[in-house]
Amino acid sequence: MEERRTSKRCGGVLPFIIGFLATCVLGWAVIPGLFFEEVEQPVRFSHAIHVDDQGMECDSCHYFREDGTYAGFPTNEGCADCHAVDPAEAMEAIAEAGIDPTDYDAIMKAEIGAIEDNLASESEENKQAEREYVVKYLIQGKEVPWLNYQYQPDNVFFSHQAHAGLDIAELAAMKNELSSVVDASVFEEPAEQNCNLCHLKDIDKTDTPPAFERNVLSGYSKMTMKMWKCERCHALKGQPNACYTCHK
Amino acid sequence: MSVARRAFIQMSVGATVGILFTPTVWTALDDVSIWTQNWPWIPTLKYGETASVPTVSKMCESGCAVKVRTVAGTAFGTEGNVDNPLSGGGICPLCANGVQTMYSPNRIKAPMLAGKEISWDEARTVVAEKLAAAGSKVAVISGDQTGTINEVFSALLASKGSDAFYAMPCEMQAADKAWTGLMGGSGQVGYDLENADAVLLAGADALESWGPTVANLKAFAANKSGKFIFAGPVQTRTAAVTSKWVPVPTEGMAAFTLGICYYVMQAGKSVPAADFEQFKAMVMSGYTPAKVEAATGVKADVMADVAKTLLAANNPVVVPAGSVAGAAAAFALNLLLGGAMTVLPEFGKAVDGAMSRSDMLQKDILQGVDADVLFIYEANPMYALPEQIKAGFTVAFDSLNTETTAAADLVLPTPHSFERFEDLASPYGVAAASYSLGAPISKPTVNAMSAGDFVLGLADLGFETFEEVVDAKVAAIGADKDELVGGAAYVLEETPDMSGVTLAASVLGKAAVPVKGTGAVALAPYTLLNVGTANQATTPNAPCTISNNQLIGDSMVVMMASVTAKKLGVGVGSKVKLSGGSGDCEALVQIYEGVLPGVVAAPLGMGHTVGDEFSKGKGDNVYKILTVSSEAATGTSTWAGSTVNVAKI
Amino acid sequence: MQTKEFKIKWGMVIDIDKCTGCGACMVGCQVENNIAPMTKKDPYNYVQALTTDRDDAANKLRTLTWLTVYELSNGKTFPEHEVAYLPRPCMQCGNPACVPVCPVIATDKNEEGGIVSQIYPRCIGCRYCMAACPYHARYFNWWDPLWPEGMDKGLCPNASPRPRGVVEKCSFCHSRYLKAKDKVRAEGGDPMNLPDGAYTTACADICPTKAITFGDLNNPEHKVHDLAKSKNAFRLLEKLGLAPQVYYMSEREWVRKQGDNYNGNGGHGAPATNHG
Repeated sequence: MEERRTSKRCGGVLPFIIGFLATCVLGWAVIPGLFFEEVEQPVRFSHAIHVDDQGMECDSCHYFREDGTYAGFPTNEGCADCHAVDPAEAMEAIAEAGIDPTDYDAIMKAEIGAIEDNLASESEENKQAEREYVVKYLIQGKEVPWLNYQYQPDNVFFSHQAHAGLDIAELAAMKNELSSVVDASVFEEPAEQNCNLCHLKDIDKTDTPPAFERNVLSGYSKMTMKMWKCERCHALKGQPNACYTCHK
Repeated sequence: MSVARRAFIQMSVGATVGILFTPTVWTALDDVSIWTQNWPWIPTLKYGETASVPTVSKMCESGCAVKVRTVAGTAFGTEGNVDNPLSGGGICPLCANGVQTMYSPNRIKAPMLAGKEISWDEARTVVAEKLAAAGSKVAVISGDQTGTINEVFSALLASKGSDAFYAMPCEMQAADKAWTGLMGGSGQVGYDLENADAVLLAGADALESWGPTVANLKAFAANKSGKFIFAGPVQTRTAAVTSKWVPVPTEGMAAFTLGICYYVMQAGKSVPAADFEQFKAMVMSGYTPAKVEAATGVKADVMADVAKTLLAANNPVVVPAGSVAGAAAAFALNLLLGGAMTVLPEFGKAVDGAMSRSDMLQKDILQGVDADVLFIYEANPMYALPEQIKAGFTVAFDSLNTETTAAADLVLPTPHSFERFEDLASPYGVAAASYSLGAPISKPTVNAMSAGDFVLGLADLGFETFEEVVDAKVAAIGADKDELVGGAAYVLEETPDMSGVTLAASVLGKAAVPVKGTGAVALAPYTLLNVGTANQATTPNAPCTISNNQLIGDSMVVMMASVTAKKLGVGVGSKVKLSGGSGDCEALVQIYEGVLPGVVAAPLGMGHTVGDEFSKGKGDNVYKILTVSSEAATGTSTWAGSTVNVAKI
Repeated sequence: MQTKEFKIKWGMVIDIDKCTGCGACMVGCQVENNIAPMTKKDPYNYVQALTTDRDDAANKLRTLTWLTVYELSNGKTFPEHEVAYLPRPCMQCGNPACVPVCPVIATDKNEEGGIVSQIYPRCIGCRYCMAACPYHARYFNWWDPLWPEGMDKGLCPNASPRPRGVVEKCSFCHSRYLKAKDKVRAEGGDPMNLPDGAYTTACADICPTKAITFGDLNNPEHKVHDLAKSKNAFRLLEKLGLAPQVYYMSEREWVRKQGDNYNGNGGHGAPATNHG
């Protein structure tokens, strides 16, 4: 009998509401964050230094090749135009100093002349980032495994060339329809180039690249555009949504 | 307790409903579905700049002019080189798999002495010691027919006082022995298949394996008006596209060719050769259509028909294959017809003391090799002719593990064609002398060294590295290295003096008589490039291109006409043992009506005992059942006329 | 049923009189499309003792040959026998039998150019399409692709590797089409009007006799436009009404007849009796 009374007192709809609210809060505020882990880029690349200080253009590194393909990330070949450390010379100097060429820390500490004399950065912090790039990648002949915020799997064929003519100012007319696809703030002050439509907004002004948010289940980036977004924009723009338009 | 329980259930229901009002479940489902599409063991692709780098590939016998396709600097495939006359955009099935072979786990990883890994310095010391002790008892077997690497090896032999340079048995050798040996010619015979208006392929399956296959195929396709006739015991792939197939037994090919000479001379054709009258008399008496028909089974009117086609043409050509006698008969017929047979000059030498190509083809490997130190360069004699090879100490250079490297005392890994300087001078059969060159496209993935670099370190031949040899070769030819590396071939349209050539009348009369073994049926071995060659086994992607007429499961398939099968008491799918030569083979029977009655057709190139899973244990090795017979009149050895006994098992 | 028509219609004309069945096209196709060599042993299978071996190329029912070469025989005995070789890619039918049977729309014919698409992540491996295709042009992945150690370093960027359990088929090297369009865009041209040869398949590229000609059947400036209309041109099993975009040609009558064996006796529906 006592039990029944108690149950009346505490029963009813309250526990249901508590449970409902708790998971709602968790599900909206906490759990989505748990799906992603933050991964730093392999090298602290500063767009700010390259663009603002050195006056480089976007297409110095991110350009269309003659065959219409897009060179997304720069390769060592391009970087070496300015970061003029001769890999052969550096490796020789490392061997002379008796350091294991794969022991990056030791190389960086040893202040090898063939490397140090050719570093372009001024502040020690920037110098260290550059040194890391040179020691770990450039002189080793290894390309930097940049993390692609806009990662797409192998079954997707994305053509930068086909999207090169998209104009943000023009698209602004559809900004309501596109609100779930594109960050609305992109349309506020339309940039000359349309990269902001899909890429990290204003990444060219960052000094430290933001962390890559990797989905712990799928391994994709948090910013990986899902198929429905591609399809929505295609539909709005009157472009085909046939499977083979984007798949391979 | 029960109060808490009820509240707990209510709360759980609330929580469950609540979670459905958040994106959690849906995004998790979405992510899981993506997770199921990307298993860690499914490789991901590499992206970057794509390029096509011209070079040469030496997997098929003649070599192909290819372009290696790369992405972000990594090779992934091959395609044809439109700028090179050897390719015209196409490539053969072996070279089409060149890059995959380069990455193959069957690559030899490091120098191996008696099964133990050693350093290159140790290898050099060992070979230098053996060489010093061997004196002039040094020999070389080369599987390369067109490379300047042969100059390096032959110069090494010369520096030791030896001339024991052996080529693997090849069509070029038979042609050279006929042309420069019997007929007193010079240079290398070629055939202008593109501009000929009538082509008699006298045994040469030019559109599947004979000669510069890809160049032949290209010429065939470009030749819009030419009439191609294939003569041979099997309706080969070549015969599938030629306008006519004339069934002729292998051993009767020389007689058949002389039978056509009969009609051609009857029509009044002659050659200003010293022994023309003797030749004419020999043919007119010994090779009358009736006699040839009796000896070969080819009807006189068939020969008359072929002769008529050739005579009616403005620019006919006859392309021989097989025996020296057959080659000589075909050359005589070509001289009579005055058509599209060409003679190519040899390019200048790079290495002093090196042999000329003709000299390199003099030694007859079928008569056996015996040396104290034997170098084997990218050849597989232990697979194709194991009984002929005897050596005190064998050094095998190769990029892949083969029967020969398994049997060798010292194995030295060479870089793959795409990892080294590689050149290709006038493969036998092309119409004009040409030279192609390739520079390394990638660094060797194994601890390999160019065979040229290694040999140059053994003796002072005037060069430090093989690249210097190649430079000297390019200079001797008068070509431009940058243009060659850029993919263009150097072509020389020049014909050496042909005066003084004879028709080898005295020898040919005897040599052309068909000689056949004593077995129940004649054996017609044939080569398909996707199955492999004597030196190169089939490649990783090629096995699924091999048809049921060559291989079913792991069993070799031999083909015969229904009448032959009936005579032998076998049928489709019968398991049989073929015995001949010094061994036997197991095979399944397939009825193929495109085989001359009394002949069984068997594919060469299978039945490897060493190598990767794509070739090892697949089918049987037909080289075991070939009979080496000596062509007494020409002083050479031949496999033509091999016969086998067939027993049902 | 209605044949789907597009402004552009990619097609092939294969000259059987030029095909020697050498197999270079099949090898080129496998390399271009990342079809792994067939291997028996799986070095990553740690319970091999408990499992059966994978299939190697000996099992022709399980090989993945998007393009395969068939041998044709005129059926006569020596010496009247004749032989021909016929390469068979996906026919990219105008009215494909495979598309309507797909329960998940993993395969469709909806893109300009008329190539029948196959989307691997979407495929559930039910194989209805394989049963529907009269050309046997579709293949099921019985095994995960497994390149011998080191060989997966050099994969072609043009085709995504497929896991086991999905159906795959020839796509006319579709990525090459996308790349050709990009190239033309970069040059300021019209991607809807590619010049002849701007887009070709790997098999057509590699064929030493150029027996395979590839292009837009609707574009009079492309070679295939006229070749497909030549008097010796025919299509396989034309009577089924699937409207293949792959044409063949041969001067040999017996070859043309075999192209549609339902036409064996006069083309009035009665199937030929010597079937199979």
